[in-house]
Amino acid sequence: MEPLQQPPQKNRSRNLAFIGIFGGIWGITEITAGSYIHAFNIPFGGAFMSAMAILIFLPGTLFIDDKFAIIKIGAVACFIKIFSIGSIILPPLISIAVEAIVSNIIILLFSKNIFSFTLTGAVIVTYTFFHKFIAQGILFGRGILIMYIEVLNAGSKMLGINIQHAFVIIFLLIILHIILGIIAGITAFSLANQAKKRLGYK
Amino acid sequence: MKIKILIYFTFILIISAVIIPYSFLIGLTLFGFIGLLILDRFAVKELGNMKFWIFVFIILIFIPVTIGEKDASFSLIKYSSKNLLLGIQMTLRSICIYTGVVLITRNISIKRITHFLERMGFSESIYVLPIGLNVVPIVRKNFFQIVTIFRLRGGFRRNRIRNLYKFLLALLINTIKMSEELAQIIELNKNNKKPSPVK
Repeated sequence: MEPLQQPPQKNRSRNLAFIGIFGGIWGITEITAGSYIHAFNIPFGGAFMSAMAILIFLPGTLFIDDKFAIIKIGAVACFIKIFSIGSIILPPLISIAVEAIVSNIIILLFSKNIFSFTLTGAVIVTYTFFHKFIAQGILFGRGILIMYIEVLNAGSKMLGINIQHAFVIIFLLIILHIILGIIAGITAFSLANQAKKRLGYK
Repeated sequence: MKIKILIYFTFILIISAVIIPYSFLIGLTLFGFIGLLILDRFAVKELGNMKFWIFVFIILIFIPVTIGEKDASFSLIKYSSKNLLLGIQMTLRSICIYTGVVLITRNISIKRITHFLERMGFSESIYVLPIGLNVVPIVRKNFFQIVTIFRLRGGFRRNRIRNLYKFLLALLINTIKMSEELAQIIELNKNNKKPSPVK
């Protein structure tokens, strides 16, 4: 059966349109879902936010012929996030920027395949676990120890483990983040390939 | 010269509103007002926009009174002091950003902004940022359309994971189609080849 559409032409206008739209969607997600997650103080909401971001920008990169596509998508998302009315803006901005830069480096190093997508997912979602310590603990002066205790409390509540087993809680939390990232990465790759097939792209 | 000062002033105002700690926001808002008066005093009229002040009223009064743990009271009206503080911070930040946007839109044409960004080395951002901002209502419409379709087809009650995957796929395909259409429109505009009207 003949494909319904012609394969995409590699041109600047196409890249710009894709970067603008995928960046816009990432930005909207950060404003809406991100604001709710911060407002209701959902534990480890950052991990879900980054998993959602992975599902948005990673499939987008398969359709864009630009080495620095993810950084550009991240820049658009940051720009839109500036206009968010939520009370917390700077930590998510730092998070978006770091996520975009790290993902772009991984994709540049390993090219666009299932391995790089999975690795990106795992690294990005795991980064959100440490983001609290870096952004709020160090940059905003809340102190790493306070953040550590907060994370332990949330972790012990979620996993139902006594807070005295701190090492086990931290280890399990990191493993859970990695698993969530891997699932997000594989789903992103699968979604992008399915979309390519259905739209008749080569 | 004035245009350059305006651009730098707005840039500093908006970035500072996001970066600086909350305790400095009152100072920054005053700085924004003074800048507005010096650079374009007629723009103060624009701040009288009713929609904007209704929005401010909702943030400042409605949220602390209705949401959160009510731990304080004023004239028998109980409110959440934590949410009131958050509301003040959000309002001040909104005023700073709004002041900056009003200044830019009143005084500088798109051509000038384009030229300025090109000289700064952000030539692509001229196209990409407006697309990102304007895509919001279209994405919202598409999202709710797909949600309605899925609900009519039985929702997510059965095979939740499979249905969620299909839902995400539908969203992605819609987004790609939208991007392709937009790319075609950009190309058409670039080449000044307007489509002929249908006879």
